[in-house]
Amino acid sequence: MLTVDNVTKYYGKKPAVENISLSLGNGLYGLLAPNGAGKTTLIKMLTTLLTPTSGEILYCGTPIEKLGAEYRGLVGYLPQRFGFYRGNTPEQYLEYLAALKGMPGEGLAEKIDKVLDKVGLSGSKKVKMKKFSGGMIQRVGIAQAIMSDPKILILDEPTAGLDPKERVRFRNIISAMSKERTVILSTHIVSDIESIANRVIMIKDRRVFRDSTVPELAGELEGQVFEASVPDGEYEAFEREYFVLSARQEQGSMAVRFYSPSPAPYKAAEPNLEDFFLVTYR
Amino acid sequence: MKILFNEAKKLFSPILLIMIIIFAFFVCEGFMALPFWPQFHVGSPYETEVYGELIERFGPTLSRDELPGFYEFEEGLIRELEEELPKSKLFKENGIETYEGYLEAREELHTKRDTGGTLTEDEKALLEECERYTFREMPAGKLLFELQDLDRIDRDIEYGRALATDESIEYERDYLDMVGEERARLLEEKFRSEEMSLLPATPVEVIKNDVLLLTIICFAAVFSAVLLMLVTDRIRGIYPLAAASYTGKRIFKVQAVVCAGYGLLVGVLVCVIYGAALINKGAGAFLDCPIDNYYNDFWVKLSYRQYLLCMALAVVIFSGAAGLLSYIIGRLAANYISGLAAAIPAAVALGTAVYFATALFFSAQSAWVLERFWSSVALPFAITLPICAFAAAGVGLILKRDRGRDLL
Repeated sequence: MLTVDNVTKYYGKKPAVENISLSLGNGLYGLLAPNGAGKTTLIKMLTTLLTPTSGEILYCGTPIEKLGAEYRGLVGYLPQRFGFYRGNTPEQYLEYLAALKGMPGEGLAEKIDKVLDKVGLSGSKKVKMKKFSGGMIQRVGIAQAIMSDPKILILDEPTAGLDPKERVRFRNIISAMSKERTVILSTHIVSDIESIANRVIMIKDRRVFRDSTVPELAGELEGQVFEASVPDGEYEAFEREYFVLSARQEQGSMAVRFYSPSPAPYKAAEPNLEDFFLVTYR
Repeated sequence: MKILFNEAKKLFSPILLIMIIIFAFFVCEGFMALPFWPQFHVGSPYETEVYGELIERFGPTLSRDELPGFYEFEEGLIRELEEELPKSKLFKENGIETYEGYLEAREELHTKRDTGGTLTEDEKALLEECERYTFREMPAGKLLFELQDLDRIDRDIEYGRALATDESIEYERDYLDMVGEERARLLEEKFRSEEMSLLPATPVEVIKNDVLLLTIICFAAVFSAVLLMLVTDRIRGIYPLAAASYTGKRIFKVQAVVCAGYGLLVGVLVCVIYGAALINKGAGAFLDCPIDNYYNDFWVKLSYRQYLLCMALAVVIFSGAAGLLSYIIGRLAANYISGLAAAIPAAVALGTAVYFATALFFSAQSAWVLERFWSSVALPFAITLPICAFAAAGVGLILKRDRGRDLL
């Protein structure tokens, strides 16, 4: 169990996150907020790269800085921008990181093969990473994060650069892994977590704004999301009146999905997490 | 251990090491004072050869008992020369048949010319012939140079600078009275020794100067590799991954150890290359000679081999310190350019320190003072070890700072 207890972090005099409290057991936690909201700061504190200005982070009741290597050994981490050596093959790179992770050499080759197969890179394990696309690099990053079979998996913007097929593959891997461990997935892309997150943690104004399930969050907008077909000529006026969540061009009109806190003379729609995200951070 | 090996693998690139070897080889062969002559005009171009031959005959030192043998060897060379002299028509006409006659005639003509006298056409021709005989290409030229080297030994013995007697030491009396009591005592002891070292001045002189160049090569080679690794690791964002792993910030400590190790390795490599080049130039003949003779201001009882090893050790220690200093610069530099900018004053400061350690302090004026505390040989260590300690302290501070510092 990972507990974030009233954690605040300042960069100089500027607060990055304030009074964050969370309790994270096994399962997948989506950390959802727009860019610059403090997600990466929180993640860096969870990975011991940053020290909280106040408050503490505990693993099974012990502060993580006290646990030190013991705690870090339980963590798999994919940073937003992860470092790699262009001249390395994924195999060499994973071997290098395995040593840093304190993984034993015995059975390592098989483990690397397995994890590369999992992310669909087994055919490229001997190819230098400088020849890789952005998506392939990201998959190597995911591979290194899950390689040590971590008890806590922390992923910062993991789907950046992945194509739709790769995203689905990634979601399935992560979803399967989350049964037996704590997975924290930080993103500003709602679809990454909508279908797989057990809980969604939203940060707003440097604080935890919501810590809830997807249906609960979406349910908060029940009766406030509508759909309408707006003639082209009236769309501008419509947009001024309502908060448009999405709009699609049709024959002479716009198919619009929008938010209205008060009842509107349109067809009510089923709210989703993306609607809640857009309304929260509008 | 695996982590140490992995970090070392990053730094100890075979290509880089081969480049350092090739670079050091060309610098040693091309730019250093290794070709002993004419960089230092103490000896002749045949100094190494003729002294080598003497060492082969008499061993690394010449004792009083061996003096007859030495003079016999010298006379052999004179006889060889005197077989060459009659081959010149001009010498024959002027009655120059002996080495002494040749020296006298040349000296007389030089003096006349240099003191404003007018040389006749015949005298001019004779002087030209004398000069021509000293050309390296001439068989007599080599003999004349060799005899010039042996003359120096003759003079040292005659004027009481080596194997001195109560009588001959009086030639040096004025000098001894001038240098102060302590130094005079040390010098007289050296001059009166029963054996004189057959080590000429040049092989020692070149070491003092080359050590400075070797350290510059080491610093440049170590710095470029270390900066490349550390700045690349930071720019590529390796550190957050490493620091969030089981190893944590210990990665920085491991890298510091690897940098120092790399410095030591480069130092050893450069010294081995230099040593090989030195031996190749004939300095191998002097390895067993004591270094404390009239020309070298040493009192410590070391052989040339031990002296070379001491200097090499100083270079290796310095190179290790260069590894640590490069680590400090590499860790603090935001990018390659700022690293390079920081390295320039660091290299100048280090170069100056090493110059003082190896060259300036060896001068006759200062060496004897320091001799009372250490030997001159210990001086490079007296400078390089504090540099090493300073670098280690700097690394310690950076590592301490890392422990409680956010890794952004």
